[in-house]
Amino acid sequence: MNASCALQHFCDTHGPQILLCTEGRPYTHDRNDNDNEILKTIYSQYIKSDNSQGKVACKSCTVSPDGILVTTVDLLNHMQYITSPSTPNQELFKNIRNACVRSLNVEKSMENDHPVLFGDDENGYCLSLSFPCKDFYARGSQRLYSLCFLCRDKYYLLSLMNRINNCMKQAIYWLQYDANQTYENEGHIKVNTTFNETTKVISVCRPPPRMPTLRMISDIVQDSNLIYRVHALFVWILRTANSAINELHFDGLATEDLTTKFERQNAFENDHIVKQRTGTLVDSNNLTTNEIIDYDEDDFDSLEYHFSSYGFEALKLFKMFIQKLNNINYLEYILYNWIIGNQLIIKYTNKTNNKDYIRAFASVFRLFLPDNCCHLIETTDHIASCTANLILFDMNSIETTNEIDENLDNNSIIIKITFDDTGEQIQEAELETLPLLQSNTYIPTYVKTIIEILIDYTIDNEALEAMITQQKIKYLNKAKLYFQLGRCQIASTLSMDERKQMEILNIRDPNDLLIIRFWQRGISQSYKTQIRLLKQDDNQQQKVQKN
Amino acid sequence: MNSILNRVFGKNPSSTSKKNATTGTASSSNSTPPLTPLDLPQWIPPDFNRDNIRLLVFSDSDDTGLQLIFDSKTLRVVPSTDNDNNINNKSSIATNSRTSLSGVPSSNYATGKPPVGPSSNSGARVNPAISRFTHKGKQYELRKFSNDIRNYADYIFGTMPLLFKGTGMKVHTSKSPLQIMMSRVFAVKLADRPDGIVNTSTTSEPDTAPVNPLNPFLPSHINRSLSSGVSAASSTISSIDILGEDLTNHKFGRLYRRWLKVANRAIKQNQRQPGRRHRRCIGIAFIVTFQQDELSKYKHFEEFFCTHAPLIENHFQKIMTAAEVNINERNSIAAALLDRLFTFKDDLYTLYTRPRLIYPAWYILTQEHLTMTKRRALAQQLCSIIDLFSTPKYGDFLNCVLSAVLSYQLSWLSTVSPSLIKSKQQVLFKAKADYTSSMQSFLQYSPLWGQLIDLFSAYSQPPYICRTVIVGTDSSLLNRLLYLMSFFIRPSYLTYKNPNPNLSDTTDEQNRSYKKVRLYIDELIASSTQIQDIEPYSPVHSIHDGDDDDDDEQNLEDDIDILSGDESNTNHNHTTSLNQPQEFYQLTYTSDDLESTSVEDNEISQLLNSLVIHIDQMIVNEQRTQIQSPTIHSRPTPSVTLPSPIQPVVNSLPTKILMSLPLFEPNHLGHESISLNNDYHLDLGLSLISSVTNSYSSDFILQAIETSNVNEIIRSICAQHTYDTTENGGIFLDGELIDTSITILINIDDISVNLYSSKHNDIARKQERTTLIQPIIEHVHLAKQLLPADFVLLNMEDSLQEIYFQALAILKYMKANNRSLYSQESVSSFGDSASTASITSGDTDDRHSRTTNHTVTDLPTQSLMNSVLTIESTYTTAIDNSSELVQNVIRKFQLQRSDYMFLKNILRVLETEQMQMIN
Repeated sequence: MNASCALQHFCDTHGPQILLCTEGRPYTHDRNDNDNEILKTIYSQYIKSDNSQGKVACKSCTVSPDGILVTTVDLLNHMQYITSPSTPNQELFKNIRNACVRSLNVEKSMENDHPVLFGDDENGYCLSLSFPCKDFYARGSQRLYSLCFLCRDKYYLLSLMNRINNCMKQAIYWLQYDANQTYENEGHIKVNTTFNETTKVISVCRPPPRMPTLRMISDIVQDSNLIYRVHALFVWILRTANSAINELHFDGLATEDLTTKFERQNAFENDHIVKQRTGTLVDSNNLTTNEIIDYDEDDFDSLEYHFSSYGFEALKLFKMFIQKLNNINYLEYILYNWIIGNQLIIKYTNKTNNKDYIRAFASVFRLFLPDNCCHLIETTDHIASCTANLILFDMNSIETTNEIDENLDNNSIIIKITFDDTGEQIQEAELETLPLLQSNTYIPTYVKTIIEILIDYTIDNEALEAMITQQKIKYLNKAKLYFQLGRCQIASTLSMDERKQMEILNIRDPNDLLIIRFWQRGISQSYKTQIRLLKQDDNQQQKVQKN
Repeated sequence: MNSILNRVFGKNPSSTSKKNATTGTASSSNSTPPLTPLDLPQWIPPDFNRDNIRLLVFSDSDDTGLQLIFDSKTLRVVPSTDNDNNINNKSSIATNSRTSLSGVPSSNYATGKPPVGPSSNSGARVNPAISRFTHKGKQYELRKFSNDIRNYADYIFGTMPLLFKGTGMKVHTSKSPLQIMMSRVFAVKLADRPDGIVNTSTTSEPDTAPVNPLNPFLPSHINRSLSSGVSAASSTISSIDILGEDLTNHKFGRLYRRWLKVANRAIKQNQRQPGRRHRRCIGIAFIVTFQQDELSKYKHFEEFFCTHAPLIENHFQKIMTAAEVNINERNSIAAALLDRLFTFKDDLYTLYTRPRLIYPAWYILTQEHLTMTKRRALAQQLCSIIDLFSTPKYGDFLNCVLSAVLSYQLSWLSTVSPSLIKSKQQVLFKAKADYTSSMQSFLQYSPLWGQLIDLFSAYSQPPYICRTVIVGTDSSLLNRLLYLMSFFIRPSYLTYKNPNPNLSDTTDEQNRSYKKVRLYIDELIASSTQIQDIEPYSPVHSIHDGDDDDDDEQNLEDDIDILSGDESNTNHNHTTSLNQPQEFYQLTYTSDDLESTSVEDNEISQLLNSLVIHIDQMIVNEQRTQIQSPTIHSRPTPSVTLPSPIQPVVNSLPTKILMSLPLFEPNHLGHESISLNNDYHLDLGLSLISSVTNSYSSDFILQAIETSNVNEIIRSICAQHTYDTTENGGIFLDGELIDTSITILINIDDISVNLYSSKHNDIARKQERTTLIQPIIEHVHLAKQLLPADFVLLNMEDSLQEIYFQALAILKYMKANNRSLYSQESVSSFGDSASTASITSGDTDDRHSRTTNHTVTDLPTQSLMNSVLTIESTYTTAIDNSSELVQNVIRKFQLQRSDYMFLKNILRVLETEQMQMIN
């Protein structure tokens, strides 16, 4: 459906003939393609194509004597244009041929200088503008040419009719202007006359030639580089047509998860040096540290801990974990603490030293929380761990486990996982910090949903991710609302009353409120700033109104 | 601030308020006291006289020639006194009325210049050929013919008969008189002499389906146009990586849908029957004329015509159908056409002049330069409307309204699907999609077509279309609900660039000069570079055309002085052909396009080869110029390969040189492009939402009708449904056959929301309340007491997004549950789509082979489309029928039955997008 432009001529001996056509086709520059292989294959078709069909060795039917083809690549718009006397594209050739005959022979415009739009679904649609060019040697001192703009979509062409027409007219005026100048030069002889001893140059009209001569259009407009000009103009017309009307779409804003990621990336790029400094600080303090993966630093360019990159594997491991844990209350307890922001420590032993599996396992936990609520550290050192809420503790590299427990805060949940010899299966899973008995009664709805999804064996990893994402969006939206309420005076006085809050947020379980409070961390800075700005503006407006 | 308000709320309503007085129903000034008046801008109707529409109908057949059948210009109402006298002769005259236009058989018309002017005029005078007929109790008289008929026949049918005389559309314009004409020529399908038609069509069919010489095994039609169009686009679209993300990813919903539509459309188009040679054609044209001093009115209408062409054509189609059906009914055709003409005039008039909601809520809220305060005020307005309709009196009314609209009018969907990039431009709650323009440029769809798809929500395949009609007796309530609805119907809007196309140095028409642009072009040409290493040059090289001989002979016969100018010319040409290659050889490795560092052996040999050839050429040229210089008329030296005189074909074309020219951007010369302000006549998104009126019109996707006679509205809705699903009903959507046509009828008086569908006409389905929509309404109550109104807008968007994510989750869940059935069906298609993947993966070898044979490129699209279609069909049945699965979903996601019904359409649209995601 790519549009194309053509210049055609009514030859005295051969009738309507195509002189040049410019085709546009989509093209993307491939960075790996240094040799421009794609372009070259396209070009070779043109170089190769002799398209002998109907092409006559007639001066009047050719543009210029040198077999030059011109091409232009518009990298910005991913288009490539090529101008040649004939096209290897059979379909297009047929359509241009058809348009050529019709525009020069058949179609009659209501008025000179006014285009005709014609066509049908089979042959495509064409906006044609035929024009005469002065030529001293031609029959009747002028030749008939036409410009055509072809495209498949009639409504596209119709909606652009005026714009294309304006551009085509400009191109025509220029050609006619040049042809006129040649005509003036050729049609008059300058004679030096000596009259009263002063030499004067007088131009005398010449009689037209007795026999019309066939001439190339490049001679008529006296431009040996005409093909370049026509190409440039055609590309200009095609590009103008392409860019004349633009659709204005609006997407939803990027999700909070994505936005927080962008923000961290920006922060990282800005404070790179600061980060490095703290990084070394940590290093100097912890000589035993084998590896600190600062979650902030690697997250935007690696896919580690992303559920989607582990997918099926992660889900399998987690289900295995549930199985080995073998206590639904424990699972509820772990998830409950995890989603309200308590620290989760996973101590694991994997003899194969393959970290992939534990990371896949951790990615499931990560999936349950908004992106910004999650701070994950892989470490063997407990001091570095106080800022993170998910700690992967490799037990292989630590001899004594006793000292770890002492430094942990009371709310931390510790899970112990042992992998089997292959390092791929969970052999044992254990909850070290056992829940108090009464905690069973308050299970947030979100946890219930998670567990329901997890134990449903018909749900695969993709569905799981989509369903959890939906739940996350739901609670994040509530967190947003909660945040908004906090910014507003009337609302925040009300915020004392928990029941009222729950009513507004449309939740039933007070534990859900805990989630929402914690999840405010998952809201992006840009959203928060926006809310503050809006509120500020609102306050000002209200002040003005009061005054 | 003031300027913005002005921009937002119409230019200056005061100056044109007189006109408005007549269409006062549109403005909402007369609202009831408790309601704060909606400050909507006023509508200024364009001036349009429907009597300026002229209809011409011709019939052209091989045996009777061209005949004028109907010309509304010569139509006149016969005064009733005449009626009694003439009514008896009526039929006899009518049969007599079809005289051949030129008075001679069509063969005469076809071969030579038809007899113009005098003969036909005299013919008209001699034989006034009046036909009379009655239409709706009035006597009409049709006079033959007016003077300009001959010309119009030429415009419509062309001055010369074509072999493929068949279907086609044309648009003509002219300045004096100011008029625009749209004409259609189509073949009569209903055979008047059955034997003739059948014979010709069968015999001519093989001729019209030529075999592609490059690849005879593929049906020529399909592979050809695909190679030129969509396939290339589709392979590019998947390989293109503007954002570092796959564009076919589902999250680019709307664009993906666009692409899918484009692809579908291309395939459909190619399946069309090739044109046949028909024996009988009908040519119909309508001409809209303006007075000579109404240039600005004409311009306005012309722009309107160009943007609304699909809808206008849809109405025009009805006249065509009437003409086709009645073509053999000599007595009734004029009456039938007149009837249609009246309808057409009314339709066009309505479409053009009906009051619009000048600034739909969605449009105005997404304006970039709106201040926070202004936006809050607008949001406040929306909230107050929602408040109004959620008072106890209305019960669940608003919930039902929104459920219905959001369930069937799905343009909102892509406005909540999150953007994957950090958008540069944000408008409070939305990210501007910056990537659309580049998408558009290589898909080359009409943005207006994209808008139509959005507005009618014709996303699925085959499409259903949806309109919303609000009826009631209180215009102020109607206005409010309409405004609210316009927030949830979210088409894309258009931005127009109006470049100054002037290339001349001066704007003066008479004294043009092209110095600047010529300099610019020369610069470009100077910086152009040759592209090399493409193919070895063909050994045939000859500068000399065999034709030169003739030319020179002719020149000989002329006087010497003729050549004064010619000589320099030819010399000039010779020098360029001689110099250019040299010049470009020097530039070889400075070219940007040729950054290749590795020069292979065969490349070098190619280069050498071509160098040798060029040196040869230079020698030949030199010799020639030497010989030519003393006497210009001397016979040129024989070229290396002298073509035999019998050969008309150019095998003596000089070697082809491919030059790369930088982009020509005349805007650099100070020609600035100006963005235009949007107006309804340029933007369908603004145009197809009508304000409160008294009658139903099928063109508007959202309209409010102030009436107490709802039944009449329902009747016209049902009639429209029936028409929509006929063959011609989808004309405005590019001829797509519409599967279902749905109208949501909201009755404010009854407080009811009913769905009418073409599937079971007349039986309305009552929209039920859904729980999914409820949060949107509840957010507004917060605005009253707790939060500023613009917070509510944000929250409403969040709730809509929640619905979107819920639908995605349900879809994934259903897919997981369906996997057995699903994977079984799509195994074969996976293989096919894998082949597409190999193209997109940047495998250059693969691509190489594909592009060399340009017919191969389209295979992937086709198979991809096939796979999409098959998957869709099987999958859709799963959604619809597997009630157990539906029960599961309802239980799992804690939905109600009505919620699922609400989600069903959304699921169907999303699943089409998901196809791309499967692998």
